[in-house]
Amino acid sequence: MLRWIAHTLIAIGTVGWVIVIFFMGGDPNKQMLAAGLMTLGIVLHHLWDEVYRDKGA
Amino acid sequence: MSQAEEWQAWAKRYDIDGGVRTFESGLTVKVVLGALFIGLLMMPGSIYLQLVSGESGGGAAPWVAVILFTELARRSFTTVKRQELYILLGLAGAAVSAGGQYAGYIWEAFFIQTPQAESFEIADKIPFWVVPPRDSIALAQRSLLHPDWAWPIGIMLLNQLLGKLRYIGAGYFLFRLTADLERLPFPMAPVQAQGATALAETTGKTETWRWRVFSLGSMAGLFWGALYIGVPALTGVMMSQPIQILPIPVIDFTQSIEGFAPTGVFALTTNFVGVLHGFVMPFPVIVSQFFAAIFTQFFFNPTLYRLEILHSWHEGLDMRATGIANALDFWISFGLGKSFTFAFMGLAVAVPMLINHQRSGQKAAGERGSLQTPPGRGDFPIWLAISMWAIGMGAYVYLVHWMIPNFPIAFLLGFAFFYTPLHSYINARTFGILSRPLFDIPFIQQGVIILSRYEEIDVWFVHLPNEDYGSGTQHWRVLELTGTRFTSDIAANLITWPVLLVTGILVWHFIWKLAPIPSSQYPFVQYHWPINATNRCLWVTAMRDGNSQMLQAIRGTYVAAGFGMSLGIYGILHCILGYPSMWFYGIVAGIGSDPGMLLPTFVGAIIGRYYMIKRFGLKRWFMFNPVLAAGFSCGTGLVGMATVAIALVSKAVIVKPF
Repeated sequence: MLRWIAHTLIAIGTVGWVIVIFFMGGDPNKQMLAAGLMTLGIVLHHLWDEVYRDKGA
Repeated sequence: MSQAEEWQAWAKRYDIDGGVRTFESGLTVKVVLGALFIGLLMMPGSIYLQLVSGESGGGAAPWVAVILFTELARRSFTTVKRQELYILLGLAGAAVSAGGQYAGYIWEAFFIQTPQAESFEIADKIPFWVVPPRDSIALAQRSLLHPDWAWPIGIMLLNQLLGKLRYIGAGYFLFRLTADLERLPFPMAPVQAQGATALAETTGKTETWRWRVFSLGSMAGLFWGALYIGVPALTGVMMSQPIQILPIPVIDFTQSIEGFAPTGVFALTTNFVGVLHGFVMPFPVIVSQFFAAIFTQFFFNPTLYRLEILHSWHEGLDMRATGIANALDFWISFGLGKSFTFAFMGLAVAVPMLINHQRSGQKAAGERGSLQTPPGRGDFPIWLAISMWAIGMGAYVYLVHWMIPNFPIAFLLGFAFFYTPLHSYINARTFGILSRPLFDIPFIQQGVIILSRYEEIDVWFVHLPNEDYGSGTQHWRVLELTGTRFTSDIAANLITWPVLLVTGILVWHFIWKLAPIPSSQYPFVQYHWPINATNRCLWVTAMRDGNSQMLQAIRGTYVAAGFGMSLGIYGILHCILGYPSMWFYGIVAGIGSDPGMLLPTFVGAIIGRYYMIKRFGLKRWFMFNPVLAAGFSCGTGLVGMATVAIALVSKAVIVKPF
């Protein structure tokens, strides 16, 4: 579950960042919003990877 | 496979020896004398090489010291302890690089006299504790042995003394926390320990494969060194313009590719020692880095040019001018954002690891969580280590405050007592697990200066108390693995320190007297120092008038783009698709790089992967290549030192006209 949430956040953040770059003139605030989603997703992914991977969470 | 497992799997390929748990002193009179003799003999050559080719040969010198030492031992029918060889390696390296502590003064003497410093109106504002004034006789006579250098050199000596307190105290404390308390593995430490072990073996009755591989590397290094360093150094003695069989340091193809790749940079490095690095470095990093660099210079940069993001470039610019124009337009900002990702990755990986290790530590009580020390290791109390660091750091903050009294002291204290401990602890742990530092915030010193709104330029000439002791933690672990008593290592360094201070200044003084630095005699610095001077002027004037080129170069949109793109690549490639994280590190490091600089490393990686591993097998090849690389650097260093010695002697001779 944790892994699924992490990957969803990363995917949404990445797609959002691409949209900001190509269709919104690269507005830095919107880019950072997308980066924030990716950041959270990556932290959760590593938390799952290190702590919960063996438990199948 | 988790990221820690991935990195450790690579590290294990090099890890062929276990540790030892009996400790002996490696400090003997013959070791100290041997290291000083070899080091001081090679120091002039090392400095000269650095100025000519950008390679100090410092990596070769300790090996040469150890080889000579072991040969002497063999011919004397005696043996050498690995503890002695490891101390000898460290001392010889310190002796050869001892000249480096004065290199900054030659650079400052050059900088204050540059047209760049003049035109940016900073030459007359450089503080007295950095370099004597432009009209000083010390600069006119190119002399380091002049009273005008008293302040700069006096401050350097005080700082070195305080630095020893800080680095020994903090390094030891972090070692106790990570190696003793947490029992982190330090996976690459055995590689360093193995070098001394391998050569100590040669004084025994049987000779191992290591000696043959080392000799093979040395012969290749001798050949390459003669071609790349020997010919220019020797012809420089006889001619006003030295002959360079291969242009040093690059062959610039930037103007040749501008027709189909405007704003692209392609300058092929002629230092093919990169091939050896390609043998040793992990394959995915090298390959992804190279192709990312090709993509950048041949597709990405021209696209940015068409979008008018890279707008300063015009036809006919060479590699240096193109690089500066592109950097100011885009790459400084993008690179900042890209590098912040590395800092974030450090935290994102380290914090869950810490949680995981705490959990597994509870299961393995008895081994982990104990601060008991093995007998005879040469430990000292933790309170003493912390006190040494606190005194060294407190005094250093006071010194910096005295040098730049108007700079807000809160920033100095924040660096000294918050950022540095945090930075060091994270890197000590990542070294313990991954054998590499992961936490680094690029340009943090520049960023803090700009954030402080401090407008005087003196702050750009002082080293703020921003330090990393974590990367040095591995050294203590190597001492432990080689069974070397800690106190013998500390004592050896303290004994040789005053000697190296004196000899370093004498050698630099002599070399500076031979010819102006930079000049055509020293092609590497002649090529790079003027660019460095321009870059430094841009930073130093960043706050003046509020409209500096450097400040204008930092654009939020591009910083965010670099950050977002790197996160996206990491998230998709590693987290979702499950590719090893090395591909990410290679891609992000390669974006914005010049493929010509990476080509030799790429060739080395391809040869290693598709020929050497098939020929020797994976395990044997990963055993061979660090020894081969050490032999190569030894051979290059030897021929470099020999030719440089001839050059130095001939230039020291004054030919009378009668």
